[in-house]
Amino acid sequence: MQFGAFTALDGVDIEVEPGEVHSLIGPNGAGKTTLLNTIAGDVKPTRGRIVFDNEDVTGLLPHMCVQKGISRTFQIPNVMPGIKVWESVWLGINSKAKISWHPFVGAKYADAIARKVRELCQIVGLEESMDELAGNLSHGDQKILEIAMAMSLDGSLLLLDEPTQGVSPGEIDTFMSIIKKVSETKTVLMVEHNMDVVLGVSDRVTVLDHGRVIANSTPSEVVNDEQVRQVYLGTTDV
Amino acid sequence: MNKIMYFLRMRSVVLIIVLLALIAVGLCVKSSFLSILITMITYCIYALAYDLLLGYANQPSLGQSLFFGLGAYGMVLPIIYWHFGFWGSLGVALVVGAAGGLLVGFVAVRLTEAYHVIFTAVIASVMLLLANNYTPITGGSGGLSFQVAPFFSGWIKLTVYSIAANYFLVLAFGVAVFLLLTRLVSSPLGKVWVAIRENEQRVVSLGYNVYWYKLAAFVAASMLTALAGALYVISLRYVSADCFDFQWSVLPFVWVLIGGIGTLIGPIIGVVLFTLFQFYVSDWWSHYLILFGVLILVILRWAPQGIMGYYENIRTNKILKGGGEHAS
Repeated sequence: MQFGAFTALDGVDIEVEPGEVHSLIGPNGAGKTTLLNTIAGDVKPTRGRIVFDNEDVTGLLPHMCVQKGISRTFQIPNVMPGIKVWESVWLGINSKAKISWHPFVGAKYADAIARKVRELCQIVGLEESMDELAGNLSHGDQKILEIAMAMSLDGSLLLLDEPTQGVSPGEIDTFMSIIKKVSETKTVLMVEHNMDVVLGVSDRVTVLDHGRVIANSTPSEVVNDEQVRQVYLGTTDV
Repeated sequence: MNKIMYFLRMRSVVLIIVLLALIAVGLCVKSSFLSILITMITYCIYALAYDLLLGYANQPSLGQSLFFGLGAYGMVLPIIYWHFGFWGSLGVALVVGAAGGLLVGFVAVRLTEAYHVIFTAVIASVMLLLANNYTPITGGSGGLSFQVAPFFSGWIKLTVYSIAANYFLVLAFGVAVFLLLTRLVSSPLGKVWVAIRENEQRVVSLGYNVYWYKLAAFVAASMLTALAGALYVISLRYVSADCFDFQWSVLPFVWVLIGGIGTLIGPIIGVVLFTLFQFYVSDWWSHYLILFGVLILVILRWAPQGIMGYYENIRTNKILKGGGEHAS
């Protein structure tokens, strides 16, 4: 992946197994978010291939990637401020339901979809604030809404871009339990800086530095890897 | 929640009272006031169409005069040249409006903000030039007058030469458009439009191909604008190239802006204010638009989201202060 003369991702070869929670870590500018953007179709790779579910999805537009089952969240909460929480989740469910073009919809369908919306909000713990405007939520709740919106798309692969960034330490546990709950039914690929979260939920960790993969193994092995300690973890104890 | 339901019910009660009043007015009021109301309702259809485009689908077109003119000529030319009846030529006007919307929208909806404004304004001014120059067909600025044969709507035979019949015809279209849009903006399609207005990139990441949704809004607005143009010339029995004039692109923007963007009541309030001003203040001062400009500034100083936006803000604050279930 190149932006002009700058190579953001250089020969990254990474495999995410179905059902696992796979974390991407690395110093700032290592290319973690670029990798997510490339997989989600937000940027087109200059070289290389992305294979999802035995299908080549390289260069598909973002909305097509969603239809294939790849959904994502954003690092900086990217919600629709003037729209209610339940409507944000509703939009995701509706996008899969193939009736989003229907100008007039019957009550029966509306009930079924409303039940799904409520279920999803309960899973992530947002049912109290379903009638709030998304823009009025706290930062932490907006990050949770991000996850709920990605889940509402019912894809099999979830790309989480720093789900706990800017979240208060007290809320970290909530996020970890949400991610664990999500991973019961979906494959998760996430970029994360908080090592407690990474070590707590990941099955596998990939370390990126300057656009290259420098390690790819289980969390405990990665922590003990000499090269990783040098470029990323420094000398701090983990 | 109960309070919200209460306000919703209040709103429908008010709307029904307004509708009954309009019907009563049509039955007993003198004709000069009826012609003002006919103009107002036609403008309301136009304003609602523009609000759908700008307030819901976030496309600041400055070329709506193109579709207004297409609707006007789409209505008149079949009557003059092919002796179509009312419904036939109205059908032609709507199809021409939608087709024009499709062609322009094909490019316009890909452009954002300033580029959208410039592109639509340029296309509309090209059309004004063409209409002014092709006098054999359009009549140029001198215009064309025509006869509308009586026609059947249901079992009733109507002639637009009776001002009351003309009024009820336009009123029926106005109510139909209002109900249609009320339904449309709360449908899945309408919700996706609002979401695009709020955050287009996020809607893409939710799996929507926003291009088609924006194009749908553009075409729907063009078609309704063409309806407004058709009703406008039917009530005047006269059409000229002025229907493509730039003022017809600015007017809807003004109506929607003062009334309140993104609400369906707002544009109607904007039209009523503006038209009353136009009819009564212009009586004693021909430069009434200067005064209206000042009025717009005053309104937008204290109610940047228009009159309806101001009202809704107060209402939301009241509900929150009143300690409803979901108050924060």
